[in-house]
Amino acid sequence: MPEILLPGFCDLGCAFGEPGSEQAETIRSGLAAAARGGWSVVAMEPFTDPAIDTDAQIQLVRHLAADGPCRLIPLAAATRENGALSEMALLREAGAGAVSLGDVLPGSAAFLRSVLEYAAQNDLTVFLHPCDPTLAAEGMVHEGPVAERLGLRGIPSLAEEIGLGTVLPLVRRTGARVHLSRLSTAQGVSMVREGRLEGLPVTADVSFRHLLQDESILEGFPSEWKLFPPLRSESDKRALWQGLLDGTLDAICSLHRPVPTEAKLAEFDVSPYGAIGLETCFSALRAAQPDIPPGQWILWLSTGPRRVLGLAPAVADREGTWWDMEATWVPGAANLASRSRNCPELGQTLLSVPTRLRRNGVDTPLPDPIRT
Amino acid sequence: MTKSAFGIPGSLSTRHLPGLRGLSKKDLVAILDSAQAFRDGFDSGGSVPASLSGVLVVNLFFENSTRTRLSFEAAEKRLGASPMNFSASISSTTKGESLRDTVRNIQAMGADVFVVRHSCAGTPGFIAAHTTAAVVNAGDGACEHPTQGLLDALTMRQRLGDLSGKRLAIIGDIRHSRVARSNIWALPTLGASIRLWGPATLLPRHPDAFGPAVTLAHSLEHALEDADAVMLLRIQHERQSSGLLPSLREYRSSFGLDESRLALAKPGALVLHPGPINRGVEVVSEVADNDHSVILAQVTNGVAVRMAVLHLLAGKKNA
Repeated sequence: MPEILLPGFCDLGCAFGEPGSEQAETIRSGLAAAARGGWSVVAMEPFTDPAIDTDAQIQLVRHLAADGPCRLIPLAAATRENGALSEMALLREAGAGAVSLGDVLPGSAAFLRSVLEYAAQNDLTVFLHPCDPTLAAEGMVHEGPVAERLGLRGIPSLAEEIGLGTVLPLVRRTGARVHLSRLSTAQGVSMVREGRLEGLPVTADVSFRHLLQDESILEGFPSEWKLFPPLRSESDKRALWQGLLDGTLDAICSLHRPVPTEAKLAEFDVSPYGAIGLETCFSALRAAQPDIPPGQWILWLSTGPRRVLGLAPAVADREGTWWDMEATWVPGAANLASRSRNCPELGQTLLSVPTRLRRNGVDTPLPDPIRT
Repeated sequence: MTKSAFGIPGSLSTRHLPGLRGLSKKDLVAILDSAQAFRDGFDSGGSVPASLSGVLVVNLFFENSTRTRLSFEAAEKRLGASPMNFSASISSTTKGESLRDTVRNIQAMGADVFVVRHSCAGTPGFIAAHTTAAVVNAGDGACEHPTQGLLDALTMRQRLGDLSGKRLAIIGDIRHSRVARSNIWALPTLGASIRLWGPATLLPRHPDAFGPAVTLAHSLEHALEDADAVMLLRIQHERQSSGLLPSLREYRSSFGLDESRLALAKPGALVLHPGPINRGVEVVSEVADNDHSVILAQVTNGVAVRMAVLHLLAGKKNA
C-alpha cells in the first residue's frame, strides 16, 4: 500500500515518570513512544516526583530531552508544593511552554484567580482540567448507572460543570489564556462553546479514549480502563465528537499516563488512574473511524494543538511521519517503546502503521510493529 | 465420613460466586433449594454430608466482620471442612504485599476455596482472575453481599412461598449498601419487585440502573404500601459526620419502622434486617421482636445458604 506523509502530531499533556518514577517512563522512553505514535511535539505534564516547578528543573528536563526523536515542551506546575505561586517569570525564561494546575482545581477560587492574574501578566497559558475538587473527591468512575450498579463512588459530570462555572468567569475578569485539558462532558462542551462565542481566550482538548469508549466498559472492574477524568456516558461521547467537529475543541490528546504493572495490577480502588496512549492514539482512532479523511486528523492532532502552544503548523516535509494507512497491527508487550504496559488496546487490532520519521527533511525508519 | 441422610439437589453453572447480578434463575433456585434442604435437614436432626472434608477453605477477611465470618465458619465446619482464617490486621498486606501476591501465596498452600470480605468493590472477581480456587464473596465494598441476598430470598420464600409478584420495600442507606444491591439483583430474577426509600442523601442517584422491577418510592407510605416484606438497613453512625444525615433522632422520626407504619404494609408483612440492628433507630423493639420479624430466622438461614453455596461450588458430589 502507498504510504503517506503526515505532519507530526502534537500532544498537549502527556506524563512521563522522570524524575521519580523512571521505572514507569523516562523522558527518553516517553519520547521514543511518542515518535512511534506519530508525534513530533509533546507537552510534558509537570507532576513528577518532585514536581517540575523551578527554572532549574525546566532546564534539566530540556537537557534530558535534547537529543530525542521528538521535541519536548515542558509544562511547569503553576503552584509550588507549599501552596505558593510558582516563579512564572523565571519558568518562562527557562523554557516552560505553559503552566499547569493538573487534574483538579485549587480548593480556593481566590487562589485560582491569583494564578490566572499572575500567569496573564507573564504571558503564560494556564493548562487545567476544570474539575471541582470537592465533587470529585473519593470518586473512581463516572457517576452514572454503571457506578450505581457496581457500588463504586462516582465523579459526577457536575464536577466539570461547577469547575467551568468557576474558571470561565475568572477568565472573563483576568483575561488569562486558559487551556481546558481533557474535557469529558456534554455540559462542559456546551459551556466552552458559549465561552468561545463570547470571545473568551480559552482552548480545549479531549482524550482519544473519551472519544472511543464510555462508562459501559467499566462493568467487571477492568482497572486498565480506570482513567481520570473517568470515561463518561454515551451521550457525553457524542457531544465530545460534536465539539471537535464544530471547533469548540481544538485538539485530541493521548492522556498518556504510564503506571508500572505491579501498581496497576491491584484491586480496582487501589489501582492508580491512567493508561499509556502515545503509541496507540492515532491507530485506535483510525480503527474506530476509518472514513475520517487525513486532513481532519491533521487539524485535531497537529495544527489545532500546535496553535494552543503558539506553534506554527508543522510542515510535513520537515517534521512528519510516514504512515501505511491501511496496514493493521496489534499492540503487545513486545512491540511498545513505552516502559509501561498499562495499555487498554493490548491485543486489539488497530489500523495504520507508522513506518518512518521525517525530521529536518531526512527519513529514519521506525521499528516495525507486529502487523496482522 | 457420614453419608447424606437427605438429597442435596442441584448444581451451578458458575465456579465462583462474586455476586447475584447476572446469576440465572436456575442457579438462584438451585442454591435456594439446596439451602432449604440443608435447613430442613438440620431442623429435623438429620446428618449433613461431609462434602467439604479435605477441602481447604480460607476465610479471607480484609474487613472486620463478626456474624458473617462466624456464619461461614459454621457452614464450613458443618460440611466437614477445617477452615483457615485470615484477617488483614495480622496479615502481610500491612507489610506492603500486594493482594495478588497474598492470595497467590495462600493458594500455594493448597487453598481450594476463598471466602472473601473486602472494602473494595470488585475484589472477589479480581481474586478469581488471579487464582484457581473457587471464590465466594462475603461482601465487597458497596457492590454485593450475595450470601446475604440469598438468605434474604430464602427467608422470604419460606414465609411467602413463590416470590413471583411479591413486593419488598427496602428502607435506609441504599446508596452504600451491598446488601441492598444483592437483593436488587436477585429478587427481580425470582419475579419480585422492590421499592426503595430513605434519606435523599442515601438513595441511589441513578435508580434506573437497576431495571424496571426496582423503583424509588416517593414517600415512606408509598414504599410500604402493599409491601409483602420490609427490609430495614442499618444506619451507620458516621453518616452524620460526613454530612449525609442530620441526626439519628431525625432518622427515627422520618424513616424508623414502628407498628403504625408497619400497618401500611400488607397484613402480616415480614420485617427483615441484615443486622446488627440499631434498636430505636431503624426499627423499634416492638416491631423487631414481634411475630412478623424474621430477623433471627435470617441468621439461621444464613448458615444454610452458605452451606449450599460452598457445597455446590466446592463440595464432593459423592459425599
